[in-house]
Amino acid sequence: MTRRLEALQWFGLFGGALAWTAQLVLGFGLAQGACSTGGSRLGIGTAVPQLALTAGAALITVLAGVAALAVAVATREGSHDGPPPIGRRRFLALGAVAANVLFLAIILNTGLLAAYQFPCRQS
Amino acid sequence: MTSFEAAGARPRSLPNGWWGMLVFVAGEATLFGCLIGSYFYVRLQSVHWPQGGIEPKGVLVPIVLVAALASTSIFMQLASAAGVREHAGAAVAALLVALVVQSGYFAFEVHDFRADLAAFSPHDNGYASIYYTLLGADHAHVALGLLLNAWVLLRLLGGLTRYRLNALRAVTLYWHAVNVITLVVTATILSPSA
Amino acid sequence: MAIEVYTPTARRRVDRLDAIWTERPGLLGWLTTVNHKRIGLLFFFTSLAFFAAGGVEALLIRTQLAGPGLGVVSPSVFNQLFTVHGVTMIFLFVIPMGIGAFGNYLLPLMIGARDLAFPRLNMLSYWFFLASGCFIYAGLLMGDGPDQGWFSYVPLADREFSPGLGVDFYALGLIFNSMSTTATATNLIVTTFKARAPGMSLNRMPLFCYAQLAVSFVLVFALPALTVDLVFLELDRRLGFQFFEPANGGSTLLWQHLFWIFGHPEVYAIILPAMGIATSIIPAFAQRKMIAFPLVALAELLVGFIGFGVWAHHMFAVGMPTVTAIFFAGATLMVVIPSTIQIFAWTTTVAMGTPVFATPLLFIGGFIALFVTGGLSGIMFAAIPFDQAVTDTYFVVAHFHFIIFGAAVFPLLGGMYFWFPKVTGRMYNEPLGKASFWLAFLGTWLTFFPMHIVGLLGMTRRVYTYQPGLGWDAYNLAETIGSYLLAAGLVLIAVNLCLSLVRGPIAGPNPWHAPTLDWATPSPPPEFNFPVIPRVRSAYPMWDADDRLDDRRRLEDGELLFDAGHQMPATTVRDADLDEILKLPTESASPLLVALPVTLVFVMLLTSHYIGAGLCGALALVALAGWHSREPQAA
Repeated sequence: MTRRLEALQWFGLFGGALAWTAQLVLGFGLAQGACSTGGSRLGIGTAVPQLALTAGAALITVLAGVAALAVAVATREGSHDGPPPIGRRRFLALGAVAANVLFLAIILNTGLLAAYQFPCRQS
Repeated sequence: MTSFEAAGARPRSLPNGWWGMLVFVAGEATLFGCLIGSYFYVRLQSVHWPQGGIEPKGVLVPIVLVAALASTSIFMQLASAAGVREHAGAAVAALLVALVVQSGYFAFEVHDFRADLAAFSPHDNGYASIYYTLLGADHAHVALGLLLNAWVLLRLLGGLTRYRLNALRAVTLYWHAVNVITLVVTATILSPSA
Repeated sequence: MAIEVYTPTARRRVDRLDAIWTERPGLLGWLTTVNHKRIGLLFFFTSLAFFAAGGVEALLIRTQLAGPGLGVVSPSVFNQLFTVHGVTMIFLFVIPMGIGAFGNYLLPLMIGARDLAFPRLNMLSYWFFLASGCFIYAGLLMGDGPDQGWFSYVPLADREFSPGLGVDFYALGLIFNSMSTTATATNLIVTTFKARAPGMSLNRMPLFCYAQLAVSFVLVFALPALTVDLVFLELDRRLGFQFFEPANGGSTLLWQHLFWIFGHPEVYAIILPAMGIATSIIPAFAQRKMIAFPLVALAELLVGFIGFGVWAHHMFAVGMPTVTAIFFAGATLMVVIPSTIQIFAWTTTVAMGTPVFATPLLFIGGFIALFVTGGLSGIMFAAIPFDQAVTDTYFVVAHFHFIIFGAAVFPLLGGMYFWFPKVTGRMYNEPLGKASFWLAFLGTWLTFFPMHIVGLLGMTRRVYTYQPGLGWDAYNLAETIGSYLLAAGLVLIAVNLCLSLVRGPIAGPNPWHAPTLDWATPSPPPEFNFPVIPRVRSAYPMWDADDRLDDRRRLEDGELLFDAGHQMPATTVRDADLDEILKLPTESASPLLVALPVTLVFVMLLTSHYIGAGLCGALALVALAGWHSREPQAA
């Protein structure tokens, strides 16, 4: 139980962040590839790859948020200022819940906006 | 005996030097991320790749070489584990094997680098510039690793202290990072040949 | 409360620690020091000197632009002035001050440690900072300073359009400088992870330390992009590589992407130490715990992290595809949220506490006002069409000065007042402090607010002069007057602190009744910081009276003293359980002996003596071997 809570806490803290990072790097790369001289022959200049990437990243972020929430609920008897490991888990879980909400918003915001900017045109 | 004295005999956490090396290799990994990102950025701007009619690299020799280098992670880890168990002789032996293989890899790569330079120059075009810079950066990190290994080996021959063990563990981490980076760099360099 | 009066037993123990930790006096002591407080002071005064230089450059720029058609300086000098002003303020002042001075001096004190994890690396970082700063300024003083703007776009920075050495001073100098910054960042990260007092688990770490941790991570991951970019630039300039030459398969925009992948996180690195200082000052002067402590800690980390995902909003006008640009527009809209969380937490904490508006809190109030204003103009740039209209105008200059000067520097100034009693043992003059705040605050508004208007009226940045009758004259004159007012405010701060250093009343250990462990030591702190390593049971250890009484008892009983040499405990990363005893190095000439040949490497590279550079590099490696031949933990 302790080990599971610990794993959930760390997944909750880093899951959304890593999912957004992957979506940004791969999404930017796909967009750059779709709209550049060398990459335009690759056939990735449609909304589908971007939407797939956004959906995957969003799913991981939601799961991370749920994990963080689970830890927050499991540690509700403790205080975020309390002795470790419960206090530390609660502290990081509370932060992670908020972070994952923000990351989900960024992933959806950027991914959906990008997906509907095809075909390529200059800004 | 206080709980602290009991804890001090065998620390639970990894040493400060290891953590410092972790931060350092995180930075170096980012550096290579930027180099590889630049490679693909320039590539995506180009209709033909490699540019300027440069022949793509043969795949067999680089793959064999990088596999040999990657295998030294096993010996480095064995050296580290032996050091933690205070078996200085085993640590020295494993480290020596790693150093020999790594040196052999480096010698082959220097030879290969010079052969490439005879075929095309870094100021020919964008492909050549990023090719030599990416590969050169990787070789420079391998060279630094050789110096680190040689230094640690020399110090271990004088006996095993906590400081030297921490150095061994930190350098082992360095080599794991360099080996992973070299795998990724090699895959990138060989990607036009695929 | 801090231990101020010692029993004879306690006195003997403290004297023993004093004898172990006190370094040599005099110049030799300063040259070989490895003590974090001494190194922090070295960073402080050196970055202050660069701040003064950058300030003089700013005043010259403003004087040149006070009216149309002036010729205070030549165009060539003007270009060097705005370039070196930007480089100085960012790389040689605000970052070294934020982490090298404030971080170095305060972080170990706040976490209950005796020094940083790597004391000799700390001193090496200082030497690299000093040498790289002098390296960059050597170019300016030789009349061949960098003049291509602080972000040095190609093709202007290429050999064809910048044939002199100015760009090389810039590129090599910044690579050199980044080695210093990376070393300090690494040191702060490992110290924060491994050297916290027992009981100071991650949920009990001061928010200042979260800010320092965030800025250190940002720098470790951002600086490599700049290093790669600068290496590409030097290879293009010196050896004819083709990274940035579109005609030969390179890409001009590659420079911009790499630069801003570094550059945007850098501006969050600039603001984070300031946020950390604000989170230290507010609880002390509101006499209240920070509202939403976990969210503020997280917001500090998030600001740095999300900052990596918005870089191309600096490039909206280059003609990127909309699908690429929109990524960054979307992320830029969201990146304001963590900062907003902090602003709400700060203001709510003050409102719900019993605030005392002494000088440090005034500077934080000024910071919040300037940060909000700068943030509002910043969020406007997320709209691509608006950004394209105002890019490269004074509107941008206004925005980033509100943020970098207003929001990053004001807390540094407030922090100087706040920690002045701790560092010097004396209190500053409060009426003079308030006067200096108002002068600096009003000067800041007068200097930078009209830039919004004149930017919208079409005045582009970096112009050497302008035509009369464009409607810009009055605004520029007001900005120039404001800059002199601001300078007067800064001078008044310096006068106040210098006079107080000599004549100020004696300050006790904790005149503010502040909650963090830096206030547990005498003022100024002894070399060893804490006679006993404190045990911590909350994020506000100085407000836990029982624990501090326990410190006295442990000093009397000789528990957790670590006085068998230069000792410091290491703790576990997550929960700060005691783990091992470290023996730290004593004074050493090794950092200086490594720094000297490394400096020569850069001089040799600048003058194209590549073999010489190689030989100096080899010499540096020999010095490094000597460094590691002395093992502090051999016992």
